[in-house]
Amino acid sequence: MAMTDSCKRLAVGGDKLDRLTDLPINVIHQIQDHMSIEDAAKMSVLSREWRYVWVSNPKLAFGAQFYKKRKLSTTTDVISTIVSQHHGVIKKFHSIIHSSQHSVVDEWMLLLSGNGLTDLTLHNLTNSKAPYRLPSCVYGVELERLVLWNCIFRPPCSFRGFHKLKRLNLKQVSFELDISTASLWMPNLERLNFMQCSGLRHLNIYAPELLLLTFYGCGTDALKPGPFMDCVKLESAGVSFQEEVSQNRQDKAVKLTNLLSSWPNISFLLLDRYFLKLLLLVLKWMGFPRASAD
Amino acid sequence: MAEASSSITEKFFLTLKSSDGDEFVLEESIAIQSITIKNMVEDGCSSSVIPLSKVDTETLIKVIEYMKMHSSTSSNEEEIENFDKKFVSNSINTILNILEAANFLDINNLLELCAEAVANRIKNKTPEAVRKIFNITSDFTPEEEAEIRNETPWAFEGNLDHSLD
Repeated sequence: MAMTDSCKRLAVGGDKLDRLTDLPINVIHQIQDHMSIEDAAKMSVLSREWRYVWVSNPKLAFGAQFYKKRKLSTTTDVISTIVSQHHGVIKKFHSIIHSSQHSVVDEWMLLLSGNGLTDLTLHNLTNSKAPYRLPSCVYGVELERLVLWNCIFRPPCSFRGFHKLKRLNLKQVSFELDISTASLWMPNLERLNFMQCSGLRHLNIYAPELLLLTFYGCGTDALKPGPFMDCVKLESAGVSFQEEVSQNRQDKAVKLTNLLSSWPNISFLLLDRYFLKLLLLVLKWMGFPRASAD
Repeated sequence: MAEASSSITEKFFLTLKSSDGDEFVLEESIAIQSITIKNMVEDGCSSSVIPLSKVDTETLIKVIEYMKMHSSTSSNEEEIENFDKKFVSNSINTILNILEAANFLDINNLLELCAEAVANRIKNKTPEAVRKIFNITSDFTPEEEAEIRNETPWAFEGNLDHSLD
């Protein structure tokens, strides 16, 4: 930071600044958010004023484009350097990760977790099959948005939930919970998406502010009436099990009707044919014996 | 019927004054796309003329055009898309003026649109071309510049564009 200040003073002594350089730093970062990290880094040679501009951008994103351009080991080294030499807070970190990088990603997470992170996306590529285990330091971060793909969610026993989290998006995430971490308190959570997740049977998320909830292909045990019955603000729900209804599933039908009756504000509901059959069971109970499941 | 008449009576107008002293009358519902103006209205500062000392007439006309097109009552998606496309083809100086105004007036969509337009003029260009386009003077010696390039060699790989388009 001291370097930046001294450079600024040097430049101010010279001629009047050009229009682009003269823009407020937040606007310059906003411009850099619309270009690749290579383009942003190139701007460091424009003049002294630009020397440390790109390394102080609080948003970092490394997508498929960034990975495609060079060898994986080089990409890993470049990201490590960027994360470790960054100036100021890193609020947003989005990255693709490969299985061979997992130990390095642990180091990134350690650096990021002490540096103002609020928005984390880790897309662990599925072709390697090895899921990435989210390191314990991340559970102590006051995240507002978390997106995980092909990861293991195994919080330390002191974890009680992300209290500031607003959005949680999980795809192919396996939960490894014990009794102390099975009940999570997320008082600000508004959007919760589960896709092909496993180990949800013991999970209880208390989210009184929840507006959107989706379960896709997570097994029929995932959706439990318990805590989700308290989501009275829920506006949209989507549930799809991608499996066949076995005989005598009246218990499931009870769950469904209990849930639906506890969401008074629901205005959008997406259900698959599994539920259609369950609903027909409900109808039969309620005295519509001619309702047919086919 | 009661609803219709109340919506007519509740149409308020604001007067915006540019740094050149020109005044523009604009519907309040359109003007409050600017959070700065919205806050002034809410604080009761909008009964008289709102002076915008940082925005010149030419820029203010463009900003008002944009707000009119993007106000919820008029125009469909395709119209807006075409308008935005044409809007960002303004000269880089005009875009920078609007960018500054959008930042001052706090109109997020307009700020994003102009930020992207500026970024598109930098993308894949050599630093020399970027300096020329934006009239930036380098205060580095060639040795210093080479040293900085060496810190991030990955950023300078591939074929870069020398043109000034």
